[in-house]
Amino acid sequence: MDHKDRFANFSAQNPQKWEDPSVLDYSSRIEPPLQGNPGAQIKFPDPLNELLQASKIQDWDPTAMLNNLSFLEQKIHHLRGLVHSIVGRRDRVSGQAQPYGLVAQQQQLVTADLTSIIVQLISTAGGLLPYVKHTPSTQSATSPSLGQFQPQNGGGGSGGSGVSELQNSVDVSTNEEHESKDEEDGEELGENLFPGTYEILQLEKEEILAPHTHFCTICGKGFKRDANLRMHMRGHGDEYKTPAALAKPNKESSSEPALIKRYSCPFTGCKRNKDHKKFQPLKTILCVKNHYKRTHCDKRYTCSRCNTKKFSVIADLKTHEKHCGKDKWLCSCGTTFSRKDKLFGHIALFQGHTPAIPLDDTKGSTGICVPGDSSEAVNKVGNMDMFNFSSSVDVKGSIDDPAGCFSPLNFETCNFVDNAHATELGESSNAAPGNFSPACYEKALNGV
Amino acid sequence: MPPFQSNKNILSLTEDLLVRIYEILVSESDRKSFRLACREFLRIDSLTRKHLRILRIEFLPVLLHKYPRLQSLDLSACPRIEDGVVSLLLSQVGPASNSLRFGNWTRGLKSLVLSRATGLRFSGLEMLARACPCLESVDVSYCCGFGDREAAALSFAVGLRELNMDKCLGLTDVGLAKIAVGCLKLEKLSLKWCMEITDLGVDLLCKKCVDLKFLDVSYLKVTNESLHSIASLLKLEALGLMACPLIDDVGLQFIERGCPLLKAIDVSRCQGLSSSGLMFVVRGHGNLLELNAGYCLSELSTALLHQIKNLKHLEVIRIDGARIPESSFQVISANCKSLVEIGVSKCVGVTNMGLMRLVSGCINLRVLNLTCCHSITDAAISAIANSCRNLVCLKLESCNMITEKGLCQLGSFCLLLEEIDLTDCCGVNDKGLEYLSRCSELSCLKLGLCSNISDKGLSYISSNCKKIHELDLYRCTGIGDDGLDSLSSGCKELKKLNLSYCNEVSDRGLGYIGRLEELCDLEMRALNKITGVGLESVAAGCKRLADLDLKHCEKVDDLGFWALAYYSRNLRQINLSYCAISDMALCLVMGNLTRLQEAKLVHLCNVTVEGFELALRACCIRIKKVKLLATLRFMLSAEILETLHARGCIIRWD
Repeated sequence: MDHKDRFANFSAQNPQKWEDPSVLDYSSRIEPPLQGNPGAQIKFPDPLNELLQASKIQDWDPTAMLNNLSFLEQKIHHLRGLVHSIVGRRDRVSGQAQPYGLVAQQQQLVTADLTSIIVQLISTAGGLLPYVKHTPSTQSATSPSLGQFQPQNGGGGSGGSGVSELQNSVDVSTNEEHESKDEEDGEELGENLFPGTYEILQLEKEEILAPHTHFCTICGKGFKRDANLRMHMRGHGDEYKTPAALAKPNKESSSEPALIKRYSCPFTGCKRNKDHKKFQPLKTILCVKNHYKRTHCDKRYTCSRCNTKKFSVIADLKTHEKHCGKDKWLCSCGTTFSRKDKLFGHIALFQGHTPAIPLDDTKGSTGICVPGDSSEAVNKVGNMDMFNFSSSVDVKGSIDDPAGCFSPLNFETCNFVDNAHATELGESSNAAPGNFSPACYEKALNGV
Repeated sequence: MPPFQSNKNILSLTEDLLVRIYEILVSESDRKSFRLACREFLRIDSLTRKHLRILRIEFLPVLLHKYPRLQSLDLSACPRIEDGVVSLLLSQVGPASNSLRFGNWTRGLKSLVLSRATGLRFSGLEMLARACPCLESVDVSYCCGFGDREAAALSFAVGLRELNMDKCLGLTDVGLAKIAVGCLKLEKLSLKWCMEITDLGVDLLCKKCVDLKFLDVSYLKVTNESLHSIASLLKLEALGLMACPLIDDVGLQFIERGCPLLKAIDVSRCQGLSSSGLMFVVRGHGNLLELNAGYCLSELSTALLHQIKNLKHLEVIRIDGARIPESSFQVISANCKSLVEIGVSKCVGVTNMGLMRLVSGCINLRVLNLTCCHSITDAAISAIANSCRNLVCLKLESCNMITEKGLCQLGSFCLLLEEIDLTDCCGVNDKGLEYLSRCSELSCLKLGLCSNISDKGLSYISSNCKKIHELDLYRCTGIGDDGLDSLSSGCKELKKLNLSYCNEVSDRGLGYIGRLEELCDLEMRALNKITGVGLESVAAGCKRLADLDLKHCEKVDDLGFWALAYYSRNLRQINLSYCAISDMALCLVMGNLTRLQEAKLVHLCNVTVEGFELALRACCIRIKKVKLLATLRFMLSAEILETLHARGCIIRWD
């Protein structure tokens, strides 16, 4: 399926999803896996659910956590029994070759169960996410991350692989912009520091978002003025109380800290978070600030020229405003690029996309990317009615960082569920006779 | 038996037989005679005709009705094709019309030539591209104003296989991308002089149009990156890289490893290349048929020669401008037996001995370019004539040592010779022309600057070479009116004639020229004996005249120009610089000649600013290019200049 159609599909379906109460119902999630409709079981590790749920919980609830854990335990136990019975059965019929299909089905079922366990584990941990704990504006904090998962959700069973494609198509420019910015800010490390050779500091969200520009290199506390920082430093030891340390620094701080300091993003699941398995530390406080705002915060600053592009870091907005309206490389699909080669790379990748020819007279007057000539517009509308700009931008904004909300594991598992089951098992409620359904599987197991 | 007798008429032949007869007729004039014979033949003509090249757009609607099976339409000779005209054509006789009787002319159209159709813009092109579902070939070369919008319009012709966009100066990567994405079946694409195209565009093209067999990116500022992309084209057979200043040997290394079917490559005038780059190409493509490396090598190195030796199938090699060691000819002669064309013009080291060795092996040569090989003499010509009996084209410009002896050999052995260039060969005399006239197939003869020939020599040619199409007598001061007399009675097929600076020619001579009905291109600069009378006889006689150069014919008066304005309705280009034309006559010429596309009008001492203004107003809707004195720039009204500009006319300020 073409990703465009899928996208259109998604936008059409999405509102229903939101209103659908079953989606919001957390309890359905905690159903034991082998009871009831297997389709529901497979759908429930839905990230949307998790997030909604997460945003509902304002404070961490140890009882809920305990419930979850014991439930997981139960589930694992159940699964163990199931695998046991498979092994036992295999031993009994070891003489003859087992039908291949059955083995595969068994395997799929077990993996599905495992998957749901993993997802639940993560979601349990997700309850601990710092930003969920105290969100002044829950909606604004969650909306970008939700956006990330929407296509998948809306795409239903088969959406999984399309999402990444969509991301590519939509987000080339933004990604590119941000990457380059990251490099400028020194966020990209490029160095191979071994874990343990440096000290990891993790600031809390409030500290990151505090409008401070001067940070204590020891505790990370931020200050608006350098003088205040110097006063603060006195608390860290006598060496900061010397007149030299308290004086306005002329060149650089005299004493180098012994251990290299690196920073961790407080957002659980983020690649910049120290608990991530591929953790990439952030170099400076400024990097932390920019990273956190860009990836985990609402984009509050809208470009006044084009009213389209949104940013969470003011500097990014200013950079954009410098170029806004100029040098817009526009694809017929509505995606804009700041650089021609990026546009051409995009066009080479997607069939049927062509560069739009800007009208001379509208060039520069608005940043909004009106497709070139009228025929083009007609053509475009005929081809793909999906991209109204606001939505495209939302999507863009949200998927900057694929690791934004949850670990990639989450993504993978979801994809996996889609691929392995939505096609095979998800349909099984229709119970086509030839098809395997868990119900029959159970029967078969019990029968033997 | 009278009834039976009457049935044996040619008209009793069935339609298909008549069609077969018609198809045997190749030349346009024969076909014209055929269709003028009778109504039945005319009907056969209109049923069978597949190609149409028209001179006047106003007849097009009628003609489109007449020829329902048209596959190819050439509008390049029409002065004005505009969007409005196209929309009219499409609505009156096209798909929108209800006339079932004539069918739909766009339905079967496969080829469309719109070269120099500068009046057309993207909306017209788009209408055409959408209306012709079978369109396979489009030529919009030299439509200098064309750019991305026009390319986008063309991209609606999804079945396009061949596209020529030479000198569409506005075309950028964006337009090329439109075409690359829209016309995925493209097999042949020429982008000469589309200066805005860069590596990005070429790269995208190569990714999208994988069926490309022919690609010409000559004169573009593309780099090795483009060659890297081009190397991925698996079906590419011919690659034009002429005068690409930014490519070098590294780029050709990509070509060595790519393009497995490459048959022809043109790297002439590529400044960045050396013989090692060519060695890569030759090494990678042992089946190469054509190698054009003119003016890009300083020397034909032994290493390169060693590689070229392996090209057993090589048919064409051009290494103009290089230094060639004498031994090279031996090697080429011994190894490249299938050579048909050799170009060694302006090469240093081309000697009699070398050429003798060359032709001893390459006996199939048909085209040989020895321009400016000053050291060759009759001995070499004699060897060539003896070995290469199939020689069709021989260029000997500036080979001063050639005399009638050499021409005698050519006249004796090279009886298939069609084209010979003897410009600036002062050894050519009347006797030589007499020998040469034995080559009765001769169609193109260039004798410019041969001051030793006279009317007598020309009469030999006139009486024996009946097929002459093109004759260049530039500065042949020995030629006078009598020569033109014999010429006009002998060479009736003459189409192109250059008489510039033949000072002896007078009005009488031009009277003879007037008998050449096929003549369409006449250059007669600085004939200071001719007056309006002479010009009148030319204008009245040469009905097909399309290109006329009268520069410095200062004695021609208004009488002549009036005649020109009255008779020469097919005139397309005119040079009137330094003529004594008046305001009135200029106005008449420019206004009356409805096919006129280009005029050079500098130093017209009798024309006032008002005269220019009026003349330009009279022709502004169809003129495409005009040359004027720079001083006029601020004297002409802004209005007329704007009109000309809006109409796509290019003004060259001298």
